[in-house]
Amino acid sequence: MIIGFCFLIPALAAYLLFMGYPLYRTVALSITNWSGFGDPQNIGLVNYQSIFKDKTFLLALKNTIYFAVFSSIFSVLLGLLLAWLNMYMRRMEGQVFRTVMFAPSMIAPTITGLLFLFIFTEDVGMVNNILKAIGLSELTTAWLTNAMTVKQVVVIATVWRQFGLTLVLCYAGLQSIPNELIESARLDGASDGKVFSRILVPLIKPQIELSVMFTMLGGLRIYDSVVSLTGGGPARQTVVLPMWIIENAYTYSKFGYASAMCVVFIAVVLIFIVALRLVFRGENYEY
Amino acid sequence: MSIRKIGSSIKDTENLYAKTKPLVAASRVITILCAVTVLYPLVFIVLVSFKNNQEFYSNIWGFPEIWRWSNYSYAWVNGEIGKFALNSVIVSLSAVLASALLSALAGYALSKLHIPKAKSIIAILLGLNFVPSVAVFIPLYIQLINMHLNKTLLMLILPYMAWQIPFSIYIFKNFFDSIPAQLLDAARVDGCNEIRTFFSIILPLARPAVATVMVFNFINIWGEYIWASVASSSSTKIQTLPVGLLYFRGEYGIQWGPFAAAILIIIVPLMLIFIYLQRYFIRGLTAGAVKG
Repeated sequence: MIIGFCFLIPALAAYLLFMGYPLYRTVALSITNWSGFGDPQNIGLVNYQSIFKDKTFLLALKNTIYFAVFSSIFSVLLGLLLAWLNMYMRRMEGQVFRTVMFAPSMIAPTITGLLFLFIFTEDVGMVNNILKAIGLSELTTAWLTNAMTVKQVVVIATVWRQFGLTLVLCYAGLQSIPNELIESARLDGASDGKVFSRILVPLIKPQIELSVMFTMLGGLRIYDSVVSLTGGGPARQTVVLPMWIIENAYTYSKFGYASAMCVVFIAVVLIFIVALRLVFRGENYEY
Repeated sequence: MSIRKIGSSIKDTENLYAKTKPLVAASRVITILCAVTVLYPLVFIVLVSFKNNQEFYSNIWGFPEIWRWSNYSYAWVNGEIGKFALNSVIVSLSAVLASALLSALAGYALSKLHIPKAKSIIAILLGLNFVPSVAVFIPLYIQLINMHLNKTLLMLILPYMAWQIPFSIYIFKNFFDSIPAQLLDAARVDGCNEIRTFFSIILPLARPAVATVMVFNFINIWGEYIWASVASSSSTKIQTLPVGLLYFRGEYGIQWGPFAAAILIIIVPLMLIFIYLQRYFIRGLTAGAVKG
């Protein structure tokens, strides 16, 4: 057991030093007005009060939740559909397509954002050029500077990057369902759609839950792709929480205020975890 | 080969799904469509990376008239992608190796060395892992400066290493749980001390878990942007690829060719690693899913 602790301590120490302790400091700073000089002064909950009057903060919170929820829903639905359709393919064929569609999950979000610059830029972007080529030029718009479309573009870029992951997770679940179950359902006259909705989906609930967890909690942290795609613009329309936190801390040196936003951010993440747990509560089916 | 062929044809006849012909056709159509939307932007970037701006505007879809490899050397030299790449390689490799080593030791201890409350320790670590890293940046930055690490790559390596630890420990613990204790006891009876046992027997045995953890962590660290941009605000010497690339965009904004080349320089190594190691990556991810 003593040796066990010797093996365990280095990892725990490293984690506490670079995550645990700073986390404690963030919470401590959040009730001060520290601006980088001198000793932090305790000002109670003033920061928290002003946060919820801060319009940019509220917009950032709204955007963060918007991106997390929508990118997660579309990634999971698309991944689930494609995983199911993948079962209808020959083995090698399915394997090749899974590999191709998983590939974007490897690409860093920053790079995804830059890639989508090429696609949605107004003058030379792919989408506008395709629209012109097929005679729909009235549909072209400045996707990235039009407040009506820019949020959807961010969601599309995120879904593009992560639907391969949900596809692979759901596929792993579908693959492990025994054939007999499907066979007997077929004999009872169930159509493919029924088999999918009544048997397959309930049986892979754990995998679907994991996919939602991955994509939604990942979505709450969206920052890199927004920075590289829109920079938060136009006119802060796509600002997200990490962006506003960093701006307050490093541009305005409002460290106490930014720390309080961090604490609220953590609370939002916790609320999401609890909510997801509740949504996916209930029995899991065994087979 | 013929045996494999027979094997796969048997599998196909066993494939219950394949009986519904309309869906078989639909699956091809929809999947191919999605695969094209994934691949086309990448192909597009490859083509752009060989064009100059003039050609990019006049001939947006077609193949480049000349294959301008000079775009790549321009990105590498003038865009300083080479410098950023070196930083990224050093940071990623050291952080990945260090976190894999520490987590393997800890995962082994939690699984086999009778640590009390091992389950609670894992649960707390995984819980903390949900905290967005941006929430610790302010104190962490000050802490690292007080440790006199600013302007060194350790400013990136140490936090990256630490942040990967919870998930890595989780994967290692799951893996070691699946190895029978008798196997390890046998090694101990032979008179090996724990540390030697660990490096000569345990670690080689855990190769699949090591591969999963390293690939997973490498992807996370290689593309990490937010901390890299904050940490390198103290010194441009420690900028990594994702930071450098955005800087590149600002500096040479509309030079689409070299810009695309720079993007490819970052993506391609990752793709190669992925194609080589994907089975570990996907297996590792889904193992957690299947076993809940």
